[in-house]
Amino acid sequence: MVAFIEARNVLQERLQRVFSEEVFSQLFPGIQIPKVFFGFPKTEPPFYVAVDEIVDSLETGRGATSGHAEITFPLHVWAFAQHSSLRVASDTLLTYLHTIIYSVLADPQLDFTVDNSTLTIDNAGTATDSSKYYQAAASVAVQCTVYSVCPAELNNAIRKNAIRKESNGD
Amino acid sequence: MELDSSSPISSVTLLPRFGEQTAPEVVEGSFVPPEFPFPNSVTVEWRGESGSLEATSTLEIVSGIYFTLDQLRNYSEQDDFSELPDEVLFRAREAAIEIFEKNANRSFVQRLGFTRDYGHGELLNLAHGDVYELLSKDYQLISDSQACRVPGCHALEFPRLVEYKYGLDGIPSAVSQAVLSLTAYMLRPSNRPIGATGESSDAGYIHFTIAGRDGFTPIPEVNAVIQQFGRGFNLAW
Repeated sequence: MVAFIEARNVLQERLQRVFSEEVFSQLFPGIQIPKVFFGFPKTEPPFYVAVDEIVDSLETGRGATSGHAEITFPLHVWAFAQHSSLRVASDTLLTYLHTIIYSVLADPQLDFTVDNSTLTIDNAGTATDSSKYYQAAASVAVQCTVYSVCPAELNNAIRKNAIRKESNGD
Repeated sequence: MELDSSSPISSVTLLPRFGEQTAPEVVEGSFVPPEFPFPNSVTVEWRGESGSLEATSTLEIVSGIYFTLDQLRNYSEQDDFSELPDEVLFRAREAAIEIFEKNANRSFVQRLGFTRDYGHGELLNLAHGDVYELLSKDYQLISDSQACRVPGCHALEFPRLVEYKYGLDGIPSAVSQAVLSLTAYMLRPSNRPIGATGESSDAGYIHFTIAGRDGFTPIPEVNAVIQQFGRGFNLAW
């Protein structure tokens, strides 16, 4: 099975560990620690990071070995900061992005759940709101790649079906 | 308590509406006010070294506060109010309370109030609701926002000031929170041009909620609390 769930869980646990008093406050004193959520939070706090609960796209490629396709899928991470100062909101968000990117680059195999991962920021922006706060938000895509997928668990079922069809003369 | 003035102040006299006149010790231009019964109004006469009257100010003594300045200072991690001086926070709180009470048509703390009687009609509609004690002679309450003259007082000279105590005894937590939110909003620097009703941004078009156009205040939740806890109108019938 493609390790969607395992890779996502490793990413979320890693962000929870990094965005903590012990780690984040030591690296970036004075910057608000964001809450880390699984999925989009029901009530948005002013500072948060959320890991998308599902994979929303996937591509297969040629693969490293014959008949074993390469698979690439993104895990999305959203980061959000809200403050009455545009500079504080922006600087806080950029610090979150830095931390997310380094957290992945420190181990792009995500505890061996995938073969490699690369990063892109696929959306970002700032906006005012009616409360006179500024919001800064970004979506990071962690592009996970498995070089050579071996769908062995389904091979037998598919082959048996093919053999049955052959013996029936279909 | 001290006067923001370049003239040196050497003595003060406190003239309360209820209670004894006092002259607290003045040290380097400031004094510690004694306790007074509430609601009350205290006139402060500030005098210089020669005893000349430099200024007068009026203190309003009410039964409670909507929230403390420390609550405002620690309102949220999205704001930087902690460095602001007490005076700025105090003025913002007063402004927010004025707006809230004006639109709710009631005070959630007990205050002194007055209405001018021009001598026409049987009923005098008071300028405030929730009146619980009439202080002026020759009048009696017939509702918590109306008074009538007692027989015989028609010979008095008009206009006259009718004085009373009014206001609720107790602040609902939703009201306290709403006034706190409004005060924090007022302290926040503006993020829009004057007169703008909306703006396009990276998040799409954002409509600004504007006081007087979209509700009493720029915060819909505060407007809801004003409607829930306010009188809606001032008169009882």
